[in-house]
Amino acid sequence: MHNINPSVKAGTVTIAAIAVAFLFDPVTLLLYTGWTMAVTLLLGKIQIRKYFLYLLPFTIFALGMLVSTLLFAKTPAHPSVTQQFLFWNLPSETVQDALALAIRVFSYATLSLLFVLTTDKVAFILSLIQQCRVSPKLAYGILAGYRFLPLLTNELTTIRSAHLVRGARTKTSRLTRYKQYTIPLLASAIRKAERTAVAMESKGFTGERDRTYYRSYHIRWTDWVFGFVMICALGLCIVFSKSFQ
Amino acid sequence: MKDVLLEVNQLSVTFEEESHPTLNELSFSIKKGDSILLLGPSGSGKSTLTYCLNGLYPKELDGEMGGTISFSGKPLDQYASGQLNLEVGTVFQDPETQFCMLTVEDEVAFGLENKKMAPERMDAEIERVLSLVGLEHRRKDTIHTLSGGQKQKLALAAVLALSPSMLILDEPTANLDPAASKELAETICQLKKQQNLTLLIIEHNIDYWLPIIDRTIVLDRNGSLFFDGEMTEAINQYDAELEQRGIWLPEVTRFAKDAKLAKPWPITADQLPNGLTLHAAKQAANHFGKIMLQINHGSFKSKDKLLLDIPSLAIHQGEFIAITGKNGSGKTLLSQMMTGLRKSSSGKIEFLGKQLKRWKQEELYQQIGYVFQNPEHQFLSDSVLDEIAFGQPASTAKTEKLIDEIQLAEHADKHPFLLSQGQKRRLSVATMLVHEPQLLVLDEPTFGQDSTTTAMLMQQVTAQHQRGCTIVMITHDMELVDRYASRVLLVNEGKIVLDDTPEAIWKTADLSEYGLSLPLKEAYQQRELKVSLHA
Repeated sequence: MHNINPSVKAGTVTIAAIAVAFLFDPVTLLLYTGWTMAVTLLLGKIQIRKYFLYLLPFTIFALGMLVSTLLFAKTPAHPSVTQQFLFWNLPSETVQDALALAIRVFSYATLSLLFVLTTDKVAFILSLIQQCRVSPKLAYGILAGYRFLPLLTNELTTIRSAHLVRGARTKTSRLTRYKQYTIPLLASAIRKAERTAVAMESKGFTGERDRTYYRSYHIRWTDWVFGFVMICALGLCIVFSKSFQ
Repeated sequence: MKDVLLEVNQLSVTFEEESHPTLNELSFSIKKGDSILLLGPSGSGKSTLTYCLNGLYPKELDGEMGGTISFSGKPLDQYASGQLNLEVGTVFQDPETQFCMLTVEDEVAFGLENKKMAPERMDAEIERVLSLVGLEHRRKDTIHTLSGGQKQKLALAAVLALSPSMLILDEPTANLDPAASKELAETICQLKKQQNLTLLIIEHNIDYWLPIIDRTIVLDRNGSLFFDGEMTEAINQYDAELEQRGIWLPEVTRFAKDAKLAKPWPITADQLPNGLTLHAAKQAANHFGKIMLQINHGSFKSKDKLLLDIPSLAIHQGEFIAITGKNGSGKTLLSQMMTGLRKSSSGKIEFLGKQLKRWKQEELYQQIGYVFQNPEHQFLSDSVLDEIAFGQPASTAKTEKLIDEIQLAEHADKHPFLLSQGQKRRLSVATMLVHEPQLLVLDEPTFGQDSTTTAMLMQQVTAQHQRGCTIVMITHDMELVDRYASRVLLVNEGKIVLDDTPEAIWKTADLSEYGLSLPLKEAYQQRELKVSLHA
């Protein structure tokens, strides 16, 4: 799973996500979510505990979706059948919609996790340059920027205590305080970005595509197989759930 | 006769918003294999010159550039984009902002890719340059796990991978502690001996580079050439001019000057004659008062890791304490814990007889001043005047007096961020003095500052000390410790390993273990002692 070309993986996940957006049948969605989970856990060698921990926030979100759709859905003009759900009597259309919405959240979550948990960020960006013809200038810029994030959090902590010593907390409003944090943070971010740009250029970086790659990424037949299987599985889920009904 | 590699002719650079040129009709030349030290006061255009030499200017310049620069006999503007950068490699001063990849080997590979080297050959090349700087064992590691010194070595390796014919080192040690600086300089000196590199070293700390320097170029404040020749000549003929421009003389020279030796002054310690008598420049020790701050079993943990462990520490009124030790040893953490800026994980800290957590913050920070390493972090207002007046009742007389003292009266309406480095430093200290705190903590205030700024800053601090304020200063500079401190706390791996007067510490401890060196006066006296024992 980790060896699938990152660009192909991203493409597959995107296509699957778009397809999922047009599905309203809870059974199909449930099957596909299960399939994605199985692929991630079995082929991606992800720790089950860690995986479910990542899923937790999505679960809460999905439950919220479920309950709010159940409670606030527009009642259909002619409810065909009422269905008992827990201890409510609700029109079955509403229950169907609510379940579909909630499971769709899971579907998206598992698809994103499939990509995020099995893809190296650097590999993804390098593959974007090599397979998707993204400009190196932009891609290497993103990589460099990625390094800044922890630096900026550290800096914010320092600025906060520096301002605390100056007595800024008590004498100014919250809004001015944020403004006071912003200026030094921005100033240093701009300066850092400029320095990095200069350092990159001084190593002969021109932003042109004409360069070699230490880590090269190619699309192999296994990558195509992965994409094909993932999309076919979605088709199978649709067919299977149709025949099931 | 060596070939001329780089020729700078009448180079001038004027930035768009400035009325004076930053570089002013500068001419000099560098021959193949030369090692040149470039000195200049802060703001004399040293970094601008670097940008000109590696071809970033005039491309990226908002302003005008005049004169010519040619490299290997060919004017710079005739080099294709990126081509010159492969010939002139640069190591910059900030270890945090020189990289764009996440791991060590990728960063080295980045330059090789720019050079369009065939991927099959990269492995061997990465191995080669990493072993040149002694980082081969860190090859697969991510860059953020490296120490500052290792990062600079990586920057050096990444540049060496381009096999440049000339190397520009733009204050490579400015952000490193003495131990790491010394190691980096030694690595470079060794490389210089192995390969016939042409070096242009821009530095304020001369001492490290003396073994390999053939020539010194000094820039003047207005960006023109002040001196071009031998280091000994510069020092013996222009010492007063250099000092007046804020340029640090080599330690030994300063020492010889203070000892009122006859010229020619030496530049390295082994050139010092034997049998000198030395005058102690030390400030008279104050009488110490009551205990002002007390830590009992204070510790600081982060993610189950014990970062600081202070069983007991008492600071008395009127002391001048220097906290010293390696980078990352916990000096800053200690200073922030004792001032309540970081909450201790356990233990009791009392300030003026009352526990830190019982103090109201606004009252506490009337009594404690803390000067941060980066002055910009402390600025809150849009002008110098407001900055000093911040949080003050409208007593303009006091504000004006302070602003006069730090010589910023003419810049009163300027935005603090637009001040020069030295001015920012003075302002950040001044903002802490408004409330006349009883305890003033300074985190490496003289780090990377020129000699003028350092002198003014120490004047500010001494004045506070004489007023009766207790000083705690984090510093690597043993000369400052020797001159000013009444007590030294040596921190190593989160513990105070030594706590004594400077004199006692010089006599007993082996400082090299902690990445520090003896102040020159002390080193000299110990050498004298050895000589007399041999005699």
